[in-house]
Amino acid sequence: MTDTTPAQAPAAADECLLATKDVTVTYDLTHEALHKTSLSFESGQVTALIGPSGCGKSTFLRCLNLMNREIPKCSVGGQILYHGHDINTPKENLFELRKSIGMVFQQPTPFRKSIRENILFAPKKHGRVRSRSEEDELVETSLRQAALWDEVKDKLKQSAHALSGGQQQRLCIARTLAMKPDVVLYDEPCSALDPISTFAIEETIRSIAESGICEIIVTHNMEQATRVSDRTAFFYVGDMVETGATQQIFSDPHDQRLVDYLTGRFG
Amino acid sequence: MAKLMPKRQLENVGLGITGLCVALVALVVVTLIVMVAQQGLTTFFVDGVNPVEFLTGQNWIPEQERYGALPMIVGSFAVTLLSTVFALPVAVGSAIFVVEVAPGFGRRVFQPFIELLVGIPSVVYGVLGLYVINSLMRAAFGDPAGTGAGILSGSIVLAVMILPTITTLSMDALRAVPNQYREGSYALGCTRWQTVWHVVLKSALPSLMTAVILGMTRAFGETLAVQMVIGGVERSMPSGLLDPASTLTAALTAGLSNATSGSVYYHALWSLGLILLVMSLVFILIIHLIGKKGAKANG
Repeated sequence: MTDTTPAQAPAAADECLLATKDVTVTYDLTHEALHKTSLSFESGQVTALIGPSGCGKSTFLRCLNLMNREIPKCSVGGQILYHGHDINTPKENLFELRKSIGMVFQQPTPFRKSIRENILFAPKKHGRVRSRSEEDELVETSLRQAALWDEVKDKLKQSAHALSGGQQQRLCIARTLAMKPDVVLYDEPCSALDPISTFAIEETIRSIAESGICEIIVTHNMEQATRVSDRTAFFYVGDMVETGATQQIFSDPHDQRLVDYLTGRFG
Repeated sequence: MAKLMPKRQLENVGLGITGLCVALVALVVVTLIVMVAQQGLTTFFVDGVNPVEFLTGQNWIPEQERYGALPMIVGSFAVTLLSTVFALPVAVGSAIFVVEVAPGFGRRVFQPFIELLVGIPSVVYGVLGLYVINSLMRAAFGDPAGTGAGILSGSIVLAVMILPTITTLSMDALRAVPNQYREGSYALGCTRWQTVWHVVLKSALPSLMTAVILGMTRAFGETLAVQMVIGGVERSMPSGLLDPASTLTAALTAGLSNATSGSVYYHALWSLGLILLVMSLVFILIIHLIGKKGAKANG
C-alpha cells in the first residue's frame, strides 16, 4: 500500500483531483444540512466557500475528508470523487484517505507536545520517517512551507502551547503538510486570529497553492476570499447557489441571493 | 423584612453571613491542626519518646513502652500504593471505554453503576473482604497466607473501594479534553487508538494524576474495611505481602479503646494521627502542584 495516492490517468480532460456529485448531508436522520451539492476542485487552486452562518459550507468541507463520519447520526449521500474514484463508500479507509487530504480547523489545536513532535507525530505513527536526518528534514521543510521556520527554528523542543495563536495555527498547517497531502481543507482558519496572523496565514495558503496543492477554505470573511482564492462557491441554506472565478463572483454575481449577501442585506 | 431594609444594609448582612461561614471553616481547620499537633507532639516533648525512634522503630509494643511506628507507616504506604496499582489500569481503561468508545452506554448504564459503588458503606466492603478475599488468599496461597489477612488482601479491598473515585475523575479528565484535539488527530489520518493513546491521554495527564492522588488519599485514610482484612498486627514489621500487618488508621482506631487518656500510649496514638494529617497535607500539596503545572502547560 502506498501512502501517496497514485496519479491515475484522468479518463477525461475535465476530470479533477477532487469533485462532488449531488452530495447531501443529513444530521439526526431528518435535518438536511446540505442539499445536492456538486463542485470540483483542481490542483494548485484555492477555492473559497462563502455564505452566512449555518449555510452548510463547513458541513460540505467536512464531507471531503469524511470527517462527518465522526459525528453520530450524520449521513452523507452522493458521490465524492477523489482521483476519479468514489470515496463516499463504507469500504473507504478513512485513515488512509486523511493522510492525503489534510485539514486545518478554526481553533489552532497543537498537541501537548513540543513543536518538533507536533510535526512528527503523524509521520512517525504512519512509519514515514526512518532516521533522525529524515525527521530533521521533514520538520524543516514543513515549517518552511508554513512560513514558521524562522520564528521557531531555535526552540523546536519547546512546548507548542507556548506559541502565539497565529503561530499555533501555522504549526497546524505545517503538521498537515508534513503528511504530504495533495488536498488541504481549512475550516475558518483565521477567525480566532488577529489581523497580522491572518495576513501571515493567507500568504502561507497562497504559497502552498503555488506548490501544486489543492486548497479549499471556508471563510465568513469576504475580503479574505478575494485575497486568497481563485474560485469561490456561495452557499445559502444548504444549497450551493453559485460558483465561479472569484473575481466574477464578487464583481459580477448572477444570483439575487448572492447579490444580497455581498451587499450586506443579510449575513 | 428584606423589603423594609435599605439595599446597602442588606448587602452588609449578606457579606456578614457569608464571611462568617468562611471564618467558621477556617476556625475548624486551624483548631483541628493545632489540637492534633499539640497532642501528637506531647509524645516527644513531654513523654520523652525520641521522634526518630518513633518514625524508624520497628516494634509497636505499648506494654513494653516501645513505640516504633514504622510497621504501620510501611503498612499504610504498601496498601495505598498496591491498591492504586491494582485500580489504576482498570479505572483508566473503563474511563477510556465510556468516554471515547461508547459515550451513550457510559452515561446511561456505567455512570449510575459507578456511583452505586461510591455509596456502599466501607463496613460492607470490609465484610465482603473478610469472607471473600481472605478465603481466596487462603485458597490461592495455602499455608503462607495464614488466615488470609494481610497486606495483599487489604490492598485488593482498597482497590475496589478507590476504583469508583479514580474512574469518575478519569472520566471527567478525558471529557475535559477539547474535541478539537481528537479531530486534529483524526485529520492527520490517525486511528482512534493512536488518538486516544498519544493525544487524549497526554492532554489529560495532569487531571489523571490528580485523580490518582485523590484515590491514594482515600486509600491512605480508609480505616474500617482495611482494619477488618489486614490482620491488625502492629508489633513487628511485615515481611511479605501475605503477612498480616496494620495501617496508621487501623492501629489508631484499634488502640484508642485500650489507651487511658493522658498516658504515653494515648499520646503516641495522637502522633499517628499527626502523621496521617501531615500526609494528607502532602497529598493535597501534590495535587495543587500538578494543577499549577498543568495550567502552565495548557497556556
